[in-house]
This record gives sequence, structure tokens and C-alpha cells, in this order.
Amino acid sequence: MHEASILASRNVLRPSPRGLKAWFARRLVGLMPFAFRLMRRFKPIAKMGSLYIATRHDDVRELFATDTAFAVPYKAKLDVITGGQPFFLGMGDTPDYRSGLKAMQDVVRADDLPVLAQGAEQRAEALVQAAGGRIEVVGLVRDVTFGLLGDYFGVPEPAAGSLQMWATRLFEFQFADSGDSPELRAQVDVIAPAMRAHVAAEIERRRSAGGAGGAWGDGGKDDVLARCLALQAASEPGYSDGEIRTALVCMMVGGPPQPPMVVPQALEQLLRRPAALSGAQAAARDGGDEALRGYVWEAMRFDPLAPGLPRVATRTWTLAQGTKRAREIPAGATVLAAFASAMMDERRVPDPHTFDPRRTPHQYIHFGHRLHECFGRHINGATLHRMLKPLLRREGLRRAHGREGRLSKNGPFAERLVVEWG
Amino acid sequence: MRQTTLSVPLEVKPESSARLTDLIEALRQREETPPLGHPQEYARIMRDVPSLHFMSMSVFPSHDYDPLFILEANFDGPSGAFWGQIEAAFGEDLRAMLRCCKRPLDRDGPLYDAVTAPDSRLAVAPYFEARTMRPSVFHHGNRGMTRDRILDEAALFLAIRDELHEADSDGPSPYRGASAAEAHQKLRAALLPAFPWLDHRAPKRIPLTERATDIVRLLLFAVAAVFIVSLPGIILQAFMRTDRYLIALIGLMIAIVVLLFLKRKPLPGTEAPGKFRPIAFLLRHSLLIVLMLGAYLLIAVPVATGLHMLFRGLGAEAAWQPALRAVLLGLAFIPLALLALVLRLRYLERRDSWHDAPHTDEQSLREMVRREDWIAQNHMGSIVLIKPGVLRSIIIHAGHLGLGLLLRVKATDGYLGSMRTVHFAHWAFLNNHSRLLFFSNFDHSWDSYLDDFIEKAHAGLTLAWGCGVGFPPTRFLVLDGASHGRMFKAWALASRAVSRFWYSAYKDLTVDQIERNARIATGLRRKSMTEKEAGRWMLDL
Amino acid sequence: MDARPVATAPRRPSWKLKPPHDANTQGLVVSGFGSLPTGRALFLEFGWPEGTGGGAWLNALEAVAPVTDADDPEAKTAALAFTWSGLRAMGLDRRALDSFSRPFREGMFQEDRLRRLGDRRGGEWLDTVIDGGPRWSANTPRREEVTAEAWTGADLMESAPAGDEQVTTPITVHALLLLYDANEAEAEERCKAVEAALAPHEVRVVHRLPLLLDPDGKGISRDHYGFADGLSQPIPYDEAALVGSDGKPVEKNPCNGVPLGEILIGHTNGHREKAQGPIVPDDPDGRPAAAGLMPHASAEGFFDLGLDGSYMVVRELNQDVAAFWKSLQANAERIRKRDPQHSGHVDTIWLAERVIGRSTDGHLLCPGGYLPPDGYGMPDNDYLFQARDPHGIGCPAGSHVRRANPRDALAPTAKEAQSLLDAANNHRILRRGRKYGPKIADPYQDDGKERGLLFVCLNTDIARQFEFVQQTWLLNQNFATLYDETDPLLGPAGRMTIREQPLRRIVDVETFVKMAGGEYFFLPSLSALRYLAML
Repeated sequence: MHEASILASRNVLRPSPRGLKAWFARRLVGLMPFAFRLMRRFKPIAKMGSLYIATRHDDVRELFATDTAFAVPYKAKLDVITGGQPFFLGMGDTPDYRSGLKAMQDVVRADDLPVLAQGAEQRAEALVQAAGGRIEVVGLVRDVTFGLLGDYFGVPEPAAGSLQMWATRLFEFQFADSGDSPELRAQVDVIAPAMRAHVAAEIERRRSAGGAGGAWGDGGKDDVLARCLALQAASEPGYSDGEIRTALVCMMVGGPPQPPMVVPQALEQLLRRPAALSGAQAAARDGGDEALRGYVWEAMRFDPLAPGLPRVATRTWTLAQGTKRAREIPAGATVLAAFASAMMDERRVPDPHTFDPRRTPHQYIHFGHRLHECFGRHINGATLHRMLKPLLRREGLRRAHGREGRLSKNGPFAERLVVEWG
Repeated sequence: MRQTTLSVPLEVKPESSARLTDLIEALRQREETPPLGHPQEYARIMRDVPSLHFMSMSVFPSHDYDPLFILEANFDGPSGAFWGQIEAAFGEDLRAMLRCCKRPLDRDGPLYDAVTAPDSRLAVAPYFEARTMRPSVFHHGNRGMTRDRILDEAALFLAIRDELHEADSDGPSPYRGASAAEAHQKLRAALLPAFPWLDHRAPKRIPLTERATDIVRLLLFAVAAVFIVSLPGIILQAFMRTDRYLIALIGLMIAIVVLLFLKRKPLPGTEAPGKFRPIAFLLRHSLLIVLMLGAYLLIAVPVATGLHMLFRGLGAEAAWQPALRAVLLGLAFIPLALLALVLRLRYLERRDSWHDAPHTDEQSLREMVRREDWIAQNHMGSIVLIKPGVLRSIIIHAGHLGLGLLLRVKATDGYLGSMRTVHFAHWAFLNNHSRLLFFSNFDHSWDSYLDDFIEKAHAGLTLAWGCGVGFPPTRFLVLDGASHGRMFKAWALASRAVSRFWYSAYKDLTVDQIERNARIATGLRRKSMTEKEAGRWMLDL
Repeated sequence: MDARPVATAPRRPSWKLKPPHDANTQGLVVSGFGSLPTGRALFLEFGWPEGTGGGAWLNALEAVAPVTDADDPEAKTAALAFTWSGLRAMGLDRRALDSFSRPFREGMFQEDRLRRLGDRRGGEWLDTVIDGGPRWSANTPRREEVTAEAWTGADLMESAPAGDEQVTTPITVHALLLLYDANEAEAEERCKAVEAALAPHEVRVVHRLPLLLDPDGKGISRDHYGFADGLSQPIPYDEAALVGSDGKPVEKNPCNGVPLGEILIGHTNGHREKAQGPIVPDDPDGRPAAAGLMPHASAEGFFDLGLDGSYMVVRELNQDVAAFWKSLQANAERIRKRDPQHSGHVDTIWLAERVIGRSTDGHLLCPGGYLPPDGYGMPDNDYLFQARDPHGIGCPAGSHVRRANPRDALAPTAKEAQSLLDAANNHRILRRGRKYGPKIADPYQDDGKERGLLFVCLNTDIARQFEFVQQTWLLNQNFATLYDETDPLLGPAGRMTIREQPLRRIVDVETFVKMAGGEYFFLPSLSALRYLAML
């Protein structure tokens, strides 16, 4: 594929692999919960090739909490995406990390959350209404998320190509490409510079478009980019053009591709459990947003974003020190913190196989824990369940007939789930 | 759902004892200060540790040991999930407390090091799990009632009261003048929207499997006990002719009975006649005794027959007769064995010392009283030394094991005898079984709680606690003892420690109240009732 | 609710003490002096400087108002009791002071005790106390101030404790003198004589209440609300020290019998031992023996100061009669409005009887009526609840009489009735109170005058008897499976459940009684009084 056709592609996901090998891979993923269960029981900290896997709740928490010994392995690929610009996601607990995080927290504010939540629900409602009785959920969530967050951060659609596809492809490269596929890398080498150029051009356009009255561009729109430019104008550190660009690129790559994965997966889990579904529908109709979030969070526990997140040992560390399962992790080794398994660990999660929408927060490790806990967790906490709310409110919500009524996956990504109502 | 009761005893570095006490007090004060927007004390624990019913933290000073920090918890479900909640709610507080405790010298030492290391981010829960002590005897007042169910049903009770008070408040009440069955229907209709769970059947409080397990375990205990006590007889009969064996048995029994009769009287000044009559008690439970012996025979005879076949190469036809003889003659030995034990026990009792005026530290007494009688319930923790001796040790351990199993089978409606005031109580052995720990979360004042036992259950109490050093003089294991009311109270008081941190998930509900609310809820879950049923049901409103 | 005139019920068998206890025990123990309808309560404060003390004033008192013994009825009588701070002021030996029971040593106004008695909580007086707090108490010093080995805090093992709150009242009471007379004039005259005799000894009357008993023909007195009062008393038995008034041995009354040691120190009590009391050390002058005290059985070198004495609980309770009747009237109207068809029987009197648990004439409420009088024409007091009225359909479960003495009512089944009755009888008190203040003309009209009950009761174990009754029965919010309600007469404003079939009624009661002062006293034997006079 040449450069232009890559950029202009409308296929958000790469074509799913076919053949026997792919079929086995899918079966294997299906067996994962059972495998995790065996590992928790018999080999809680296992070694597979060069990879260590921690499966128990306590150990996963320890991995995330001990950032002094376990670092995030994101930096190398992140540099490809940002063109070598540092971003706090790739750092340890350093002053740079803290100032980078602070700069972002100053422009992504807690008081935006109600607006975002409402926006998510409104966008979803409009799409559901327009669809009239039948909708594909992955696309729905993707449209809502990218529309909402693109507007929020101030990153518009590029003239040629699709933000959805660009961001998702970069996301795959960064987080879901453990095999380091050369084909994907070739695409990323095209998309990443284009993405950077697109954001850089937008920064330039907004700066030249406005500045009067402290609001920036497009009739004084208050988005993250506008706030960054205002702080840049006030000579606050951390808001050079390069830094703003890197932050916006990373936000768009790290954030919006995730809801189209977990939200359809949550709905699939609800559809499998009629009692839970009717509970969630009741919460959606009564406006009990807190209760509804409980349902969606719990549904996500049965099929979370990924089986786990990787960490790299920066020094030799004994995991679960003082217990029978204690295991030394040598410096440089990669450990998978299997949070999907941790959330099913009956040693800490009461009745893990029961759907209980009233669990206490600590039983969930959806967004990591401690230092690198997901930057977008508050946005997710405010918006994910609201995206499903319009669907759940509909009377007679059900799967579409046939295979498209069941969630299909493409690698780690949710691909297609069609539901009907009325 | 099944509840769990446990305690975690941790030896304290004496120099850090004051620090530990301050940490516990600080935690109490923080939890007693309601967070913003919450009307309630302890709202954080209510939210973050939803399985918890009662929890306490105390530091027991002692003349014989270094101070002991004990965390006592009573909660729904298995312990892992509970510790997970505790970890999230105040893991770091517990870590600071752990640093005041001694490093254990056994295999938990490395875990202690890891958990208490500076800047340790390891979960503390595994350490508490590793040091957890299971109770030797425990009692749950509202068996199988989860915390949430207790709270839900209490809310229902209040909603019913309000509904009866407020429905059509300007005119005649719609619930008056109706028949009881009608009123039940109307109430159900009025409350269903706010309490949708009324449409579901109540979860079973004691599932059949749990009940069956409890009974089987008690029976197995009985069978094992019968076997062990009859074992000397089984051995002896192998070497003796039946008639000689029986004659020897009867002769010895008569001798012991005579000796016992001579020593039956209390020592001068130690009599405290209670209401308990051991002989009458045995007669009353004769059916149960026969059942247990029957269970024993059913198991023992086939086993003995099998052994005979195996070791003597006999056929089943030839083996069952000697097997039956051995088992029956073994059984015949039991009365003699029991009488001999009682005789020996009586000998020990007559030489026991007891504590007329145990010393109570004025300051800690003050601290205890200061914390009492704020809510409907109170808490006590106590540690006593255990009397030495092989016989005593056997009695204590077999007694606790049997009592624990028996309570599981018999105390299913909250009543201990005629009392229903104990939410969660347990005994456990400490310090290599040299001390006995007792915790109780009970209704009403401490005085009334002990008075209840003195007046209504002195025999059981004497049986369970009479092994404590300094306990008032006992006779035949169950007589006198706790009937010495004042002495017993002084003894119990001296063994107590200040309950520095104590949490109750439902401060204004007694065991009795919870059962009443459960009856009301169960009634309202039913779609209809006969007039008679409804009449009885409405008495509880 | 009070003042059972034991000695004035001649038709019903009564009891008296055997020698030598009769001449050594104060008359108040065996009699409420029902034949002497008027009286005075004089609250005394010792005005002398700290450290001087002495008991000489007792000799002066002996001359004008000798304390009555339990020997024979007399024309005018007196009873005298001391608070702990009073005994300390008189210079009683330190070891003797320490040998009194804890509640007496700490006083009624120790902060934790006030909480349990329902008077004060978290530093605030509750609604059941008069505005501004009680007027009098013994102002007992806090324990940390009187404990010799004060906590030093220089110990790593213990954390520094918080101190008690010092709760004080404007008036300090060191002793209480109760005078009983045949008429007002005599009472007034004797009061004056007492005051005159004590003034030179710096003993002042700091508070006084005129006491009143107005028995009708049957010897029944009514309280300010109009209810027959003081009907239920424990009946002591003791083979060694007590006989019936007819001279025959007293059998244990199956319903109300209690061991004498529940009332009188030094006799066998409900815990099957001699009720414990204070002791005094012998001294070189041999004063204890000279006063007639007996050597103590187990404390070598000490004499028994407590024998034939008792602990006396006193609480001055203001009663708001008009509020009581008006409130119940309003409740009756509300109930009739809410249930016009089935509430014909509900009126103010009906509700008031449910609050008390008896008819105005003193007959117990039963399902469908009242308990008939006993063989002597008096309200029958030998009743039990479990068999007759287990659910409180007649006499409400939370009514005053049922809370004050539940007898066997708390038994879950009939099988346990006897055991629960025996248990309840371990918490009985002998009541000796009288009302004070004028009768109200119109019970629905507040005349602004203070009236009430001077609650007085005798017991030997204050914690197990008086405090238990107050805390575990009367003010227990969960008493008998009731929820969130206390004694309708004594407790704070709240609810009271009256069970009826099919559906209970709930009455909203107000705060009718407010405590104006109170304390724990020691009622010494006459030999102990003689010893105190020698101090």
C-alpha cells in the first residue's frame, strides 16, 4: 500500500487474520479465564518464555504500586509516535513526569466532567434516534467518543483520512502489538508524521485565527487546545508548540480508541445476563447514573480492555515477598500484570463469578493503579455508561438476529455488535 | 450467607505500646468524624467495607506477657474479600500499627519484614491473613443474615411505621378497620415500589448443605468421643472373660460412686446454688444420648467386623460376633471412665484457688466505662490464663470443640438458653494455649449482659470459662462457679481490656430487633396470608 | 410510682426484723411511715473548713430529732443518710471511704453514670433534666483527684488517658435528713428545732422539700397524676434476721420475694453471699467497738460499718401534670380521628392507664379488663405476665409498671418464665419516696407550681439494682422487642406502642418528668451512726 492510500483508509481496524492459526488464537483467548484460574491456584506468578505473569489480585496491585521497581515499557514506541518528544506516559516517577502530568491536569479539568458526560449521552441519543430500531454498537461508541473527545481536545478530522483510523492504528502499535508486526510499523511510519503535522497545523491555525479576549480561534471555543494556547501566551512553562502537539497527539491516541473496545464488550456481557440487563435498563430509565455506572463497570470486569498490562523490572525485585508464592523477578524482565485475572480472584473479590453491580471500587483494576493509573479514568468514569444509556433506555433492547447480534472481535479490538429495539 | 468470625493477635513491642494505642485512637477519631456530606459516623467503613458487621481493635496489657494487639472482626462471606476491603479502607493505618508489633520468629518473619519495610507498598492483608486465629467456639446471633439484609429490613420496618402513621394523614387511616389480611395486602402494595426485593424470596439463612455439615460434624465428634472413652474397655475386654470384665467394671464403679458421694458437698463457704441440675439435664437429653450411641454402633460394629476379618482372617459370619462383643463391652466401660474423670476433677476442684478480689486497674476501667453505653450494643474483650494439668487441658479442648459444634447445630435462632443478646461472640486460645481469649458484641449494658449469664446460663458459662485461673470455685465442672455473681463479675472485669476501636454496622439494632424485622420482611414478601397468619404477623409491627 | 406504705397495710401480712437487727436498723428500711402523712426532706451541707470535720453535730441532732430504729412504730420519725463527700468531710478514715461501693464513691453525677441514667450525654444535659441542669448533688470530686496513686503518665506502655468531666451543681448536699410527722405544724416546728440545733455546728439546710402522703381509707396514696402509687414492692425473706409481722417465719413470696441482702447490707443477697458494705479500721480509742460495730468477718483489724445499713438512691423528679393529661388528650383525639369506627374505647383515661399499666385505682391492666383485687380488697400485686398477657395486649409491653418490673414478661416462652422471674427479682429496689408540692386543681391546667416526686429507694448493690432498672428496663430503647422508645412516663419525648388486635396504636408522649437533683446516699445502721458521731 502506498502512503496516500494508507492515510485515506476508512478501515479503522486492520483486516482480521484468517486461517487455522487465527482460529486457534481466538480459542486460546476464549480459554484465558480458565487458564488464569488455574494459574492463580497453582502458579500465581508464572514464567512463560521471558515473560512473567502475575495473576493474583494482591500481586497485580503490588506490580502497579511498586513503580520504584517496575517501569512502563512505553517509551520506545511512544518516541516513534511523538517523533522523539518526551511525554509523561513513558516516564518514571520523576520531576519531569510530575510537571508533565500537572501541565495536562491544568487544562483537562474536573469541572469539565459533567459537560462531557452530558455530551456523551446527547451524541449517543442522537445517533440512536437517527438509526431507528437497529444499530451497530462499536461504530456508535466510536463515533460518539471521537466526536466528543476530538471537540474537547480541539483536534478536528484531517482533510484526507480519518482520525478514528489514525488514532486506532497508532494505539494498536503502542499498546497492542506485542509481536512488533513489520506491516503495522510500516503504516505507523506514515500515519505518525501525518498525525503530528495535522495537529501542528491546527495549533498554528487556531493561534492565527484568534486570541482576542483570552479565547482562541473559532469564535472563542473553550477546548483543551485553546486553554494550552492561553497558557502559552501567559508564558507558563510546559506549553511550547512541541509540547502541546505531543500532548494532543498522545491524548487522541491513548484515549478515544478505548471506549469502542470496552463499552460494546460491556453491553455484550449485559446481553448475556438478562437479570443484569434489566437492572441496568431500570437504572438507565430512572436516571440513576451512579447505579448505571455500577452495572457497566461490573460488566467490564467480565471482559476488560486487555488481559493485563506489561511492566519492566528496573531492578531485581521479589514479588509477593514473604509468602509461599514469592518469586524473584530479575532486572530487565517483563511482567504482565494480569488485571483481568486479578478482578476474578476470589481471594479478594467476593463471588467473582456473580454479577454484582454494587461492588466496592477497590475490586476493580480497570485503569491500572497508583502512578500510571489511566489519565482518562475520570473521563471514562463520567462518560462510558452514559454512552450506553440511550440504548438501555429503549424498550425491547435485544441482539440482532444471527452472528452480527453477537460481539465479534478482531484481535484485541471489538469489531461488530448489532442490537435492535422496539 | 455464612458469616466469618476471626481475630488476629499480634504481640506488641512494649516500647511501642503507647504509640500503637495512639494510632488506634487516631483511627477511631478519624472514623468518628463524619466525612463531608455524610451524616453518619463511620460512614467510610459502612461504604468501603460492606461485609463488616462488627470489628474491634484492642491492646491487652498483661503481667505475664508483653502487650497483645488484637483485631477482631465479624463479617459476611469468606475472609479474603473482607481483607481486600479492609486493605482498601485503611491498609496504611494497619501498616503503621504493624510496625508497633513484634516480628514473628516463625515463617511469617519475612512477610512481616516486607510489609513493614520503609516505603513498603505491599498489601498488609496477607500478613493479617497469615496471623489469623480461628475461634475455638463462636456464636452468631442472627445466623445467615448479611449486613445489607439487616440494614434493608430495618429500613423496611421504619418505612412501615411511617406508612402506617402518614397514609391519608388527614382522614381515617386506610389500615384501620381493615382485616389483618387486607392490611397486609395494602401494606405490601404500598411498600413494594420502594422495596422491590419484597417480590423475591428471602435467601436461605442456613443453606441445607451447611446445616447437614454442621450435624454430621457434631455426630462425628460424638462418635470419636465415644470411641476414645471406650477404648480402654475395648482393649481390656480382649484379655478378660466377659463376666469377670463386667464384675470388675461394676465393682470399680461402685467404689468411685461412693467416693464421689463423699466429696459431693461444696467446700465450706463456696456454695452458690444455681438452677442447673446435671442429672435432670442428662435425663432430659437421654434421647439425644441414645441417638449418638446408636450412630456410634452403626459405625463401630461394621468397622470392628472388618478389622476382625482383616487381621484374624475370619469370614463375615464369624467376625461380627466378637466385633459386637468388643464394641458393647467398650461401651460398658464409658460410665466407669466418666466417673473416674469426674472423681479426678473433683479432686482438682477441691484444691483449686480462686480470686476473691482480682485487681482492676482504675485507669483502664475508666477508659472502658467511658466507651460504654452510647448505643444499643456494647463490646467486651477479655483474656484469662488457663489452669494447668493434663486432665484440664483435655476437658478444655474437647469441651470447646464439642461446644462449638453443638452451638452450630442448636443455636440457630439467636437464643442461648433464654437469652438473645449476643450478636457475635467467640473464644480462642492464645500463646500456645496458655491463655483464653473471649470477645463479645452484645446488646445492652455490660452489667446486664453478665447478669443475664449469671442468672440464666451459669452452668454453660462455668463449663466454658471455669478453666480460667482465678474463676470462682466450681463443683462438678458446671455447678456453683458463675453463680457467685459478684465474684464472677469482678473476675471478668479484671480480665478485660479497653476496646479502643469498635465498629458496629447497625448501632441501634438488637439481635431481637433484627429477628423481628426479619419476621416482618418475610411476612411482607408473601403475596397473601390467611387472617390468622396476618394477625400474628401484625403483632410485630 | 412510689411510696408504698408497707406498715400501713395492716390487713396484708407484712414483715419485720428480728433482734438485734431491729434495734440497729433505721426504721425507714422496714416502713414508709404511712401513719405519718406529712414530712420534710432537709438537704444538709457541712460548712466547716476542710480538714476539721467531725461528728459532733450528730449528737446535737440526736437531741431534737433522733433517728428512728426499726424496732417499734413511733409518733414522729427521722431517717438520716450521707453522701460520700459528706462522709469525707466528716473525717471518716480514708480506708473506710475506699471500702464503699464504686457507684457511691463516684456519685450519681459521674459523667458516664449520668449517661447510663439518661440524664446527660456528651457534655449536655438531656430534656429529662430541668432547664439549666440539676440544682443539687453531692458534688463528689472526680476520682483522679482523690486517687492517691495518681497516674503519672511516665510510662511507655500506656497512652495518656483523658480526664473525667467535672459535673457540678449549685447546691452541695452532704447529708439528707428525712422527717416524718403527723401534721404540718409539728413538722414545721421540728424543722425549726433541727435548724437551730445544727447551725452552731456549721451544718446548714441548703435545700428542702415538703413531703406528702395522703393515703385513702385503704392506705393507698395517689401520685400527682392521680394514679394509685407505690403498690409493688419486693418482699424480703431471711431465715435468720426476719419474721412476719405476726411473728411467724416468712416464706419466700413466689412473685415478689427477694433475699433480705438485696435491701440490707450484711445479709445474704441474690448472689448468695453477704451483701458487701463499708468497713472501718479499729483505732486506739476502740471507738468502733464502743459504738457497737461488729468485727468484720474477713477484714482483720476492721469493723463492719455496713451491717444493717443500706444504699439509698434519691432523685428529685419534677412532674408536669398538665402536660401529661393534655398530651394524652390530644393523642386520644388523633387516634379517634384516624380510626373513627374502632376507637370508641380510646379516651384520655384509657391512654393514661396504658402509659402506667394500671387503672387509676391501681389494678393491673389485663386483656379484656383489670386484675381483680386480692383477698384483702387491695390491688393484687402477686401477678405474672407470661401466662396472662405475653404480648402485652392488656398491659402494654412498654408501660411504666411493666418496664419498672417486668417479672417474667421477658421470657421468650412459657418454659423459661420461672427463670426470667428469678432473674428479674435480682434487680428489685425497695421504694420509699414521697410526693412534694401542692396537688393540682385542674389536671389539664398548668398552674406554674413545682410539684413532683422525691424518688427514694433502698438497695445494697446500686449498679445491679437501681441503675439496672433505670438503664436496662426503664430507659432501654429496645426493651421487650420495642424499638426506639423508652418509659413513657419517665423518659424523654418519644413514642409508645400500645398493642391491640389487629394493629397496634402508637402514642406520642412528651417529656413529663424532669430531674432537679439527685445523689447516692449511705443509710447507716444506728451503731454506724453512733460511730460517726464519735468522729
